[in-house]
Amino acid sequence: MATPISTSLSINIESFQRLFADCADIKTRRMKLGKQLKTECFIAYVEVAVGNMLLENSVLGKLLNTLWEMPEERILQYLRENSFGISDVTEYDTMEDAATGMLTGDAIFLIDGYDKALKIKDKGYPNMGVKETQSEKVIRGSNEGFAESIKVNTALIRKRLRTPKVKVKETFAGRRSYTNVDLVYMEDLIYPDLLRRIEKRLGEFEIDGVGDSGIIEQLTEGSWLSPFPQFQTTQRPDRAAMAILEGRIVLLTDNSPVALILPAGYNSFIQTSDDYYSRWEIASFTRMLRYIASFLAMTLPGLYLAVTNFHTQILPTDLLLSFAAARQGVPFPAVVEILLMELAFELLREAGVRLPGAMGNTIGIVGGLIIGQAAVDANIVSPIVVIVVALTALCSFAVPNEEFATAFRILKFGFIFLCAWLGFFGFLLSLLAVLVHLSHLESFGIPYLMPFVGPDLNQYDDQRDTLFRMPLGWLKRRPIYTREGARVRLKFKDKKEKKDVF
Amino acid sequence: MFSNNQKISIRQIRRLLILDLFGLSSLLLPGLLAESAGPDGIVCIVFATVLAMVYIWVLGKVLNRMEGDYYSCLKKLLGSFVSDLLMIFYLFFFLLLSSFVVYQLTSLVRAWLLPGGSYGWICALVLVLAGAATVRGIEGRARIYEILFWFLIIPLLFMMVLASKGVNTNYWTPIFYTSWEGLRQGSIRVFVFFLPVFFILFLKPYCVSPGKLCKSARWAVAITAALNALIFLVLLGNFQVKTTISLERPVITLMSMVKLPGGFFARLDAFMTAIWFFSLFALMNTGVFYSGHILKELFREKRTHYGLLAVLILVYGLSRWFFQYHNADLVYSWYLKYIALPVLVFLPVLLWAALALKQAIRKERKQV
Repeated sequence: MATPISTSLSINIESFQRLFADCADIKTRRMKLGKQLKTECFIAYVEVAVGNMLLENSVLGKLLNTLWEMPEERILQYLRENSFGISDVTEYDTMEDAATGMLTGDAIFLIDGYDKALKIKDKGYPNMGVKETQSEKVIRGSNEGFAESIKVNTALIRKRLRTPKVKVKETFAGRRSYTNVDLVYMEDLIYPDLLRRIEKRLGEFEIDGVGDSGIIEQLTEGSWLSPFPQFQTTQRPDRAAMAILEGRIVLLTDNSPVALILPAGYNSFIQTSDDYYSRWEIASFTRMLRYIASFLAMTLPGLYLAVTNFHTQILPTDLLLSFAAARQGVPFPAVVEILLMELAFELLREAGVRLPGAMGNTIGIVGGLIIGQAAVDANIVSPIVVIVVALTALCSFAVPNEEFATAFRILKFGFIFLCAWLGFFGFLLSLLAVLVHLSHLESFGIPYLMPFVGPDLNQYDDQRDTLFRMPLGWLKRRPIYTREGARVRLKFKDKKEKKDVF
Repeated sequence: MFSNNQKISIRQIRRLLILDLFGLSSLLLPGLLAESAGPDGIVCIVFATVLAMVYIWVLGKVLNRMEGDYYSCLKKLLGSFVSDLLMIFYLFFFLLLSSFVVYQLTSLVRAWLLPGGSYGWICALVLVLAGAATVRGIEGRARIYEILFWFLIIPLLFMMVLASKGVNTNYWTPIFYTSWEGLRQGSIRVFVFFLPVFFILFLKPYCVSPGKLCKSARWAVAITAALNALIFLVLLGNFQVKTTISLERPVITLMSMVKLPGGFFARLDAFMTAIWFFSLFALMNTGVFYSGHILKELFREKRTHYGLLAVLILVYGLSRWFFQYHNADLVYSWYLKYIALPVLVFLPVLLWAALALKQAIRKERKQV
């Protein structure tokens, strides 16, 4: 049961101390305010989160300084009317709410005779601040990345979309962590049903703690068994802002630099920010490369097995002979070779990720060059297999979204097994299985294969931004995610005038 | 918001129908046509296309007067008993069709992709996949073929262009030389392969704009006929009549002979088999879908998928029958010729007449 804030400071202090018994990191301080120092007050805060309460330039310091200068009889009235002009003040009626407010990283201020607790904003929890993105690098465009504080992240989006139509809906997740989760969207572009859906899903679970947006992602996605992610993830505020402009919702989680974007589809995972910053020719070329890469990342080792084990007639004799010569002396069947190399590569990758930057690079060189060369020299694997595995790895790195690329990495093993067992029939069967799965998969009601399927629903306009990224002037409509009737995103004001400029 | 309502677009229906019509016809028709009409097979394709267009026109008349889905229309018109009997006929047709297609698909795989592979395993794996594709309804199926369409058609056209280099146009002659009997037999054979257009009767409740169903069927028949004519001419031009007849699947043999420029691939038959693998899978999947749908209607099954499971087991069993008994092909062609073809052609005509009569009576009553 909630404990109401009393007008008696000692009762309030007692209930506060009961709530935070054995919490060494919670700092409390009793003070006397007013000109004659007769009014008692109590301040509590999380250590480090509030540090400069006596300084003039902090909100709390300013408040205390004012109250010290004020006659005692006017203090309560000032507090009631919030006459200090402090914007970052929130009032609480119960001690539990006040405690939760304090745990967001602010200070709690209680004063004798006043039956409310005031939460006063200060510098908050320490975080890493805005930094450059480690993944999703672009050649052209901003490299600013999301920070770990949700407030900083919403501000980074707001900085790019300066309109009051951008709404930020705040909810909390985690019964014990009480983590902030913000839904950021453009009010007039989203389907209200989409917002309802995600809010409903957020309310469908209760978990003790939310460490990262990944937990929210897994608990709210529709198809848990699918290897394909149903949320797009990004660490880039410009990507998030662009998604909002497409009528999608960005879900931010406190303490996580990774934002979730919904709905998502195959095409959105292949797109990158600089697709739109670069000219259309190069954007289309790289886009097509990425599509081919996503296909090969999943199929290349399987295809190699199917061709070399079952359908050698496909290859010209010279090439076949060179394959055979390369395999001479290798004691294992091709499938074992491929599996050995794939597992070795996955190990290297895992080791590289966990090690610090410089060491990670060393592991790459040691693993990729030295061990690879030694394995070929020792006749454990053939050089062709090393090429196939390396090419597959390159393809998986070319997929711009890590989670999406992971799906292909996992499915690759399915292809390997089926192709080793059934040859090209196994390849067709696995391809069809993936296609059947993808055609049934949806992300918040939008088919995953949109706009390759049902492009007629948006007058075939979405197709202009798929395999090819058509010239920007042709991309006049927003994609299917946007509410109907609000899909125009580009208009030329006066075509004649545009032509006459030069 | 995108609605998940088990409705598909006209474009999706057109593509589904094209793949349904194309797979089996392009695989088996060239040999059969060459056998019955020789070079005049091309005339048979034209005749059959005209016949199919007339058939679609009749189907359109029925569709225009049909209220609700096909089963409920039959029920209203003919009563529960007769409509159930007709539905059992359709169920039998779809089951046999899927089984025959699975048999063809498995034989294709065993001939070109996995020589000596176990028939049971191949068939079971394909059917499991068909079950997975069917279980979530028509939208998922439509999406599969919407995606696959260009991936199948573009390589096929490309290969046909490459294969046309070896065409000797003298092999296309003599034309108008076959007897009327040969032309009639050839035309009926082609028309039988176009019969699946009657699927549009079942598609009405699944279509976003049912008024355009006939148009999409006409397009599907026209495109399939054009593709079949192209394949037939290329095959004839490469192989002559006798070799085309003697080859079991001449189009695949042709694919094994086409050389890609550049010389990286020596033969492409394994890759090109994918076209027929996917299109046969489409037709088989359609059969499985409608069989499951009819079973659901007959047994009023709502949430479970026991009907689908039963269909998959039956299709597996029947396809093994095709595999084990060589006369099964003949029995099936006898069934198509003497039972399926007459019923599937004349039933819509009778229905059209009955619906028109009913409408006229209703109109007269209103006037009275």
